[in-house]
Amino acid sequence: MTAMRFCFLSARTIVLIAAASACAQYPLTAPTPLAAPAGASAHDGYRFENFPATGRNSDSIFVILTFSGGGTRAAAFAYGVLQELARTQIDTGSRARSVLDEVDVISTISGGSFIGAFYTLYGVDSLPAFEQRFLTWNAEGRLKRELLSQNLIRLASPNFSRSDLAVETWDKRLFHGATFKDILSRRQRPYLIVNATDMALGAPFSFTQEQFDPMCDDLAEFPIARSVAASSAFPGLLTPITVENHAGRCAFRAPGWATSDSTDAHINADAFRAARDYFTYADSSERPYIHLMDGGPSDNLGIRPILRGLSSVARDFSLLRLQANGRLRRIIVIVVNARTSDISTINKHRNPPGIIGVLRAAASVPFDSYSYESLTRLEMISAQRRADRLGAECYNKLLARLHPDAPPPSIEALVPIDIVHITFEDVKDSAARAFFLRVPTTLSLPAATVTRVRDVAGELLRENEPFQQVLKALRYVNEPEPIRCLGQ
Amino acid sequence: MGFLLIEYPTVRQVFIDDVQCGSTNTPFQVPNGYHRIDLGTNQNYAPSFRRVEVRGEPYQAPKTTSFRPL
Repeated sequence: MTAMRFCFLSARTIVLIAAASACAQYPLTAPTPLAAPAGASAHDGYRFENFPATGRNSDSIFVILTFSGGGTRAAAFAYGVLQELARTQIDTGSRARSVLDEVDVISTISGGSFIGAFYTLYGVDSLPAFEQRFLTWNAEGRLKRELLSQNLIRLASPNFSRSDLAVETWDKRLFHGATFKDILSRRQRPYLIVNATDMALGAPFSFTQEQFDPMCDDLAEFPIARSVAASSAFPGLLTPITVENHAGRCAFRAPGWATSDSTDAHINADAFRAARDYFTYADSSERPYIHLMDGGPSDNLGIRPILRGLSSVARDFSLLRLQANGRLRRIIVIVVNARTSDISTINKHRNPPGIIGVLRAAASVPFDSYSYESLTRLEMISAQRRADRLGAECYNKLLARLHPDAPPPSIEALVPIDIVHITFEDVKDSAARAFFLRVPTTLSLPAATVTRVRDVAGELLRENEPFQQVLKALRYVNEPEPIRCLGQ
Repeated sequence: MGFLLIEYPTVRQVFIDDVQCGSTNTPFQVPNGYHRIDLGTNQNYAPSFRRVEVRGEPYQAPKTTSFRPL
């Protein structure tokens, strides 16, 4: 009798769970197909061109922030940098403003996406609230509690995952149902680029309308919390976020850059690959669903969108175009890198790591290599730009001497690019440095650790020599820096 | 990356791969590769477009192409 009753209860429970989980279905993707044909909407939506420089922000000083991954540690580090930038005044003699007022673009990954999205959505006055609502909040514990509560039934559904639960949690706590339309409606900078990784391509996936165009999806309707969850869906811990591809349901016309760049793989391999990848989104029969995971595996610093902007003239966010049109005088890229080092824990044991350790290493070790390579490329572009500019200035001086009546060609398009890299590696005190380099990647840190990470970010920025040189150079923003040429 | 110079008797906007970028008679940087160049929808110039290949040309010796007024 007892056995029969148990069987009956189990069967009833299974039926109930199945019924409940069948109801638990998160929409695959929130975007709706664009109502207007692509030709008419090519300038609408969440695009950089719809974020004009207004108020205290000028185009001439173009400040870009990149926030790396690294859980709450990365968010606290970026938070400290934002606070310091708000305190740092730029004095060019015209109007008083802070460096934060001049921030034009924020590109974020994983843990950095929480603070990047929160700041962009709510502004500088909201920053103190972020500390209480996220940094000192046990987000990881909350997520675990949510997982173990009645959500177990919902999670039994194939259409509701751990990351969907994370979306709900981040929405309740931070974003309150906001979508990219809410950022767009501000019509002011910064322009936020949240980055994830396209699992099929292994390539960066940026939450921009340009990325969504070939899929006929309107990013404006996409929840911010969902983009942040995709950006921070660390492999193995959180499930990928899925975007439904509506390609073919609008009159998408391939942009000129993609058509041009896809012509020859041997002249510009990077551009060719980007164009080839872009066209794959326009085929919903081959790729009806796009699965997105943590942005770290494809770019843990958030630098890739900036590299794209520095190597394209026809994409939506193009620094080359802005400088060709004479709108920029100086580009400053502040890379906020919350990288730590736990190499010692691997090497302290004689036996090699087990399967979990190997999987962990496989998921995270490439982050560093790729990040290092991205940063190196950015620094090389900056160095090359300086060489081009100095060479051009000296050439023009020579021309002016040889042909005093002919005006030399303009070098306005050769805008200096300054790289400011903020990293725990630069903490001077060795004990403190060792502490910061061992802060774990988690969504829950002790309040004291959060405070230390936040405060050291400000100190590192104040002590950063390239940053101080940038502030000094801004005094020359309207006049050329003095240079000496060979033989002159 | 290479420098591109579009020659024309007057200063007017240049369009690269369908997007306005830079102006005539001033060198500016573009990525290496093939690009479609024109001077906009007011077709009072010839040819109607040019296709150029950029391969790392320096500022002092930019890739140069020209249009003429009609």
